[in-house]
Amino acid sequence: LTFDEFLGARLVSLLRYATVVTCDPHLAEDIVQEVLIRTQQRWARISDVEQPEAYVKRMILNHFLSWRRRRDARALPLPAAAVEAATGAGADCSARVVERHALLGQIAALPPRQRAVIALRYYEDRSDAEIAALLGCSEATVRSHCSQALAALRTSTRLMEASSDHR
Amino acid sequence: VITDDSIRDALEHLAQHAPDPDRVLLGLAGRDRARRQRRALTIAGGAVAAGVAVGGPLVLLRDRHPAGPAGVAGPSARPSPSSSPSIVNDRIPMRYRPTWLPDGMREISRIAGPFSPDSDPRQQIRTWRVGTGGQSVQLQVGGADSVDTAGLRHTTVRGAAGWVDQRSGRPSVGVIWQPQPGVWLQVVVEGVAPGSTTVPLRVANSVTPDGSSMLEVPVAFGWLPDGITRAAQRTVASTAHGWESLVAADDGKGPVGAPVGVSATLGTAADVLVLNQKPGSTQSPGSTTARGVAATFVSPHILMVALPDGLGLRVAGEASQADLVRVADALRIGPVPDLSWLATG
Repeated sequence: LTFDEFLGARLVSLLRYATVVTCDPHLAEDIVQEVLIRTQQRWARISDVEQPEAYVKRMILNHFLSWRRRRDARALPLPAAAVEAATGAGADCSARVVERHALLGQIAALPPRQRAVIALRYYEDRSDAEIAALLGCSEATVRSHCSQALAALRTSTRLMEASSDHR
Repeated sequence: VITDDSIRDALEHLAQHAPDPDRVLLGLAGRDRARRQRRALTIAGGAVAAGVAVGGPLVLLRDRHPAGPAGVAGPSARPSPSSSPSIVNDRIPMRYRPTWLPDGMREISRIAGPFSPDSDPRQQIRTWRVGTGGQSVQLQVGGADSVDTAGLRHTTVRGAAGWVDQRSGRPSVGVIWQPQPGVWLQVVVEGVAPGSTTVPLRVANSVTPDGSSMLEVPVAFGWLPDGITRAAQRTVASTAHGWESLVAADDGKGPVGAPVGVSATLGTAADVLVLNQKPGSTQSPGSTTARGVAATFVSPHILMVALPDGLGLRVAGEASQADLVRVADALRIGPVPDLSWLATG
């Protein structure tokens, strides 16, 4: 498998994965490009691993988490505008779109590792063991991240519903 | 109520808004090329002025245009070694200029030519900077057919629709607009306070057609290896001790395959002929003759030649050493151009 063949077969999948993990298509584009340049440099070695795509996805995840650490250190705002642009909530105000938009906004607001667990479990359908291997932590930690994330999402939803009822 | 299905639905919907793979491939080719250029130039020392972010902020100027030959002699051209002052330098009119810049800004580089395979051969970048590490302004000119403005904020620049690119995680603010059909301009300011668009918008609103500034390049290819037929960048930039001018050409292949090319850099010897060898490197220089004088291969792909009048020449590329010598011999080198516009030292 050459690097070009790998790109031809898996680039779309990598971009979708990065978009879900980052909740920001622009950031996903940047991260995928940077990771693919590194991948190209090391392709002889990466192509020998059992699942090159999984290896590259782990690189994307690590790159995102390290980027988040650098970004959080500067306390920049969350990419709410990017989520809004991606979900198209501004153009379609049906109830389902509004709910989906709100949910994505809440997911985007999760701490990065919790968000990664949600993306890996619900988009990639990964097991706890696989997620633990990708994140370099224990399965118990994965379950903890997941339960905390779901609790945060449900709390946010209840608060929004209460706020809506109040109005 | 949040359910597993509602989370899956939301994430699947988000995934459908993933970036365009074709655009990513173009960007990938451009980034790889810039990375390899920076690496080669760093190894050779000096280089195009630090901070001329070739390929960095050009997100909005990616394009698909037919490659243009633009003055590069083909492989069949015969070598004609010369450094005659009678040679007329290439003069490329700069298309736009800002009429306002922050105090203390001096122009440090002019670049013309495509930055990635299939990009507009008429792309240009001019860069101004305060001091050596302060705020910088870039004016980029491109001819993109369409621009991805998703996520950008609307604005107006000289009566035309424009967009402010202030994406989180980027240390710069960009303003892009279309002054006329087929032409896109982008001002990128680095070093602004977070959230501030005052300086970028003021610079953008001051941009007008230039009509007088020139990029005068004193070096041109006379022969190129087989397959390398496309003109890439031509540059004049300030360096630590003076100036340097770079011309580059490549095979024009892409977007995924990294283009193969050669470059020639003429300029102040103290910058052009410096070798910043990595600690522990066992690379030993190799002697040869180029342009009738002693020359040195400081690496298998970088040839350095000391020229009269304090000038130096560096020829680098992914070609055989014999071909790199032939490229050096065939270069047309003209007189040092008027560099009164360039901040030096």
